[in-house]
Amino acid sequence: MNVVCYLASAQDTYDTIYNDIGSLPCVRLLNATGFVGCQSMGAASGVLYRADTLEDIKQFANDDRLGNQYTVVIPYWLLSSSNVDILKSSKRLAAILAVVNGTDPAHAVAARPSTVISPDTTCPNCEFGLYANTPNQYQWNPTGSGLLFEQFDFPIYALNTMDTRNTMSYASVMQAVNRNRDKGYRDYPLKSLQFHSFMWGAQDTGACLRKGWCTPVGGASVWSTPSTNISYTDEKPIVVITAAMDSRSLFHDLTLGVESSVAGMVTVLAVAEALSRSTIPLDTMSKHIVYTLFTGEAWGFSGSQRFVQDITSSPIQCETPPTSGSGCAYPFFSDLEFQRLNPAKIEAILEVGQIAGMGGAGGNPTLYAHVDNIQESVSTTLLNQVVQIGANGSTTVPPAGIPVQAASSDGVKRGLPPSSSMSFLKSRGNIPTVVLTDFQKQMSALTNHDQDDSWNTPNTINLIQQAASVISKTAWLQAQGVSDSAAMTPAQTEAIASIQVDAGLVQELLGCLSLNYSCPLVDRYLNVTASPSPPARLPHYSGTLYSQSQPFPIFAWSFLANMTSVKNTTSPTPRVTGCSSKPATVQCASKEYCVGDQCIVSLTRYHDAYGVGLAMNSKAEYYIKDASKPVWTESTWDPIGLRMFDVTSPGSQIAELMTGLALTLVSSGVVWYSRRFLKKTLKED
Amino acid sequence: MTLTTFFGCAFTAYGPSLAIFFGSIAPNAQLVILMVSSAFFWLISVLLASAIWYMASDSRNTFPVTIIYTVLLQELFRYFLYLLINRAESGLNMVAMHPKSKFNRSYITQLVNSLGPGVIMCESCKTVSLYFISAITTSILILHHCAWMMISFTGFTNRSWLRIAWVVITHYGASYLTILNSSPTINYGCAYQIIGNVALLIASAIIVFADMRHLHQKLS
Repeated sequence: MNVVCYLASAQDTYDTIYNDIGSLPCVRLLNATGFVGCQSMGAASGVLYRADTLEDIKQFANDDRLGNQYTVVIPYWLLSSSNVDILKSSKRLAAILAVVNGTDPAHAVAARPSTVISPDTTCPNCEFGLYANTPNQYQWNPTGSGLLFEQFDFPIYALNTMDTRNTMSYASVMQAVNRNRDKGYRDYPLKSLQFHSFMWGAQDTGACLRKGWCTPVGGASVWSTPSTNISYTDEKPIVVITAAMDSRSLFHDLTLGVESSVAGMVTVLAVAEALSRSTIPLDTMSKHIVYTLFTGEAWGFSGSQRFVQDITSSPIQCETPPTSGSGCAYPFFSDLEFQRLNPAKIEAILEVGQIAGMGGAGGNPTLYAHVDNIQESVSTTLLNQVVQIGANGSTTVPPAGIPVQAASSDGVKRGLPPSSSMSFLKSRGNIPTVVLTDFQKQMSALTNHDQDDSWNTPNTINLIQQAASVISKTAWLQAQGVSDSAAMTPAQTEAIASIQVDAGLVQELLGCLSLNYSCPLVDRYLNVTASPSPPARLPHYSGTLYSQSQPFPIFAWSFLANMTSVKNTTSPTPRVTGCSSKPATVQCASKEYCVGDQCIVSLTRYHDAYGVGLAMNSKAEYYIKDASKPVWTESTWDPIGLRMFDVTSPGSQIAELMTGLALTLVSSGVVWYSRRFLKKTLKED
Repeated sequence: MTLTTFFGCAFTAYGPSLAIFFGSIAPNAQLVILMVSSAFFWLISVLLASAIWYMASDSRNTFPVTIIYTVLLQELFRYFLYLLINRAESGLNMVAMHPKSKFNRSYITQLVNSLGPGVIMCESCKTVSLYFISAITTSILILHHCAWMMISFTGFTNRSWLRIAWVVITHYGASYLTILNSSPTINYGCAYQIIGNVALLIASAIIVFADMRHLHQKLS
């Protein structure tokens, strides 16, 4: 009766036994030659064990009194291949929980070691970059541990107190692991954790695509231009302003990438806003300005390489037109407007790389302008312009005072750091190109790190503001075809003075795109707070192609559409408003978009971003077209989950079984004996 | 619970009753019919009890209240079964001393639902899983029912109010003892429960043996 009352139903039974924990998994990714990341064949489960230091890890490996399988809870910074090897050598390791952020002193920000090691390779994505075939190419991330490229045959999950749900998960895991520790990991019952982490994708991208067990990593890039009438044949040169939108890290749900991509994206958006103030309309200038924000850059420059590949192959021969809408069904393109861009006319590329100032190198923040060292001379003029504007800006824009230097000012020509510009230069090497970063010789140690979640906001804003200021003015001068600022007309002098980067906007964008997507700025465009659970911190991992929502590209599209349409149009008629707040009464005209409750005309488009080594066939299946190019895919998986529960010791379980068997045998004996006894007694009577 | 615990608990809970079933009931078709019909009556009583439990949403988690009507219903239905058997076939009176019932199906369901790596620990004995304690309790209660069936049927036949009262009182006693399992305040409550129930079972067994001896003497 007791059990019946105690456990009222099956769901209650489950909830009484198990505590489901929010899961932040490390998953399996595949490329042309193999796979990286984590997976477990079955449901791995292990008693929670706490290790805060390297000594704890060694003790775990050497403690022969431990039995069973264990889930080891370690601070994220102890997650390295050598430590994993120590843990594995114990033959007791079932899974690892890595605490990225926690309230326990051992997991707090203060406990983080002073030396941070980037989990990426010593030269991220360089095998797909401009210097891939150059011997001894410069290593931009020399301390990189390559953790992201390791294979783990057991589950690794993260714990992070980044929101209420995950804080609760962290708290319950810590309570359980502390209880286990207090019991010396021997006094059962102990708390155990079970992981479901089976990855379908095996071998490599080619094999898993054939079986349908993986999806290309990718998403949507965005490009936009104020020149709504741009055409392939208008012979006007193009100035490209570009940055990346996505990043990668071991735990995709935690990928933030403020250093790797967010700061650059904010800069490009701020540039678009600043240039939209130009008193000389941008679409009347002698050159076109094109903004590009690429997705999939963390995966072998997938976004930029595909964009360049597509614009250089126009006009596209569309074999099967789409049944509805724009684009082409086969070969598949969601949109074909990119054919209006003439790659041969690209005359300058201004790119923003890592500029959040999280390198931790100390000293005064400085922006460095990198140029290609193979065809260096073509970029000299552009480089000088950038440096000169930076020098002017640092004195006139308070409170920045951030100098801009040529990266080769120390006499070493390292070439370009890993960047989207490389994709353009691979196609045509003589495009003047400048990549602006906050490092001269070495990328930030937080490159593609999961703990890139604390930055010095005023410092980052200053850097972004200065970078945006330099790039907007350089682009403006380029677009006007003015090489010497002394030769400007009064109207031009007035116009360039009107280009000011709004520090408030930079701050707002940085906040919105890093930790709080439901901020007023994003809300004005996308009405995100109307959703039942407004999103806050969203992952900056690109996700898999066409299968996930793309919050950052969607915002970038809306913002750029607004900035490239509004203030540059000479049209005197005010815009129609109310298209999203009063959809019944206000409808935009054809070719107009409803952005931020206003009807606008804009040439802002999404562009598919996935590895250029991949292609889609006429049956809408992906295959490897060129294995030497990026072909990153993400494995499909069964529902992933973590649950915590009590376990009894293996000894007591055997004792239970023995008791049951003994009881059954004894009662059988008793029954048999009493029957015989009764028969005998009754017969005798 | 793990597979080891599952089989341990299953054998603990049902081993003795299975031994009785295969050892003395299964060979006799009449006894099987009796057992199934008594199980049917028991199921009706539990069905009604669960209907009340479902409707009385306020007292769902109050075991003492649940036990009051559950035990009462079971005893009532035990009497109905006696009446039916008495009326249907007086010939069955002879063998009516050997019925057994109470295949605690709920416990089997719980066992199956709980398959998996996790267990619930017994509130009063924190080192033992609730499943194992419940297995032992189930085993004892099945034996209890065997004894109660015999005592109550003798009581109904002989109008022996003392025997009927013993069955009702010990049924309540045994049920209330199980509350000790989930007591958060009484240490080793599960041990007291098992000791208490075993004592009650021994007392019932003594009564059964006394009655059997008496009947045997009367018949011979």
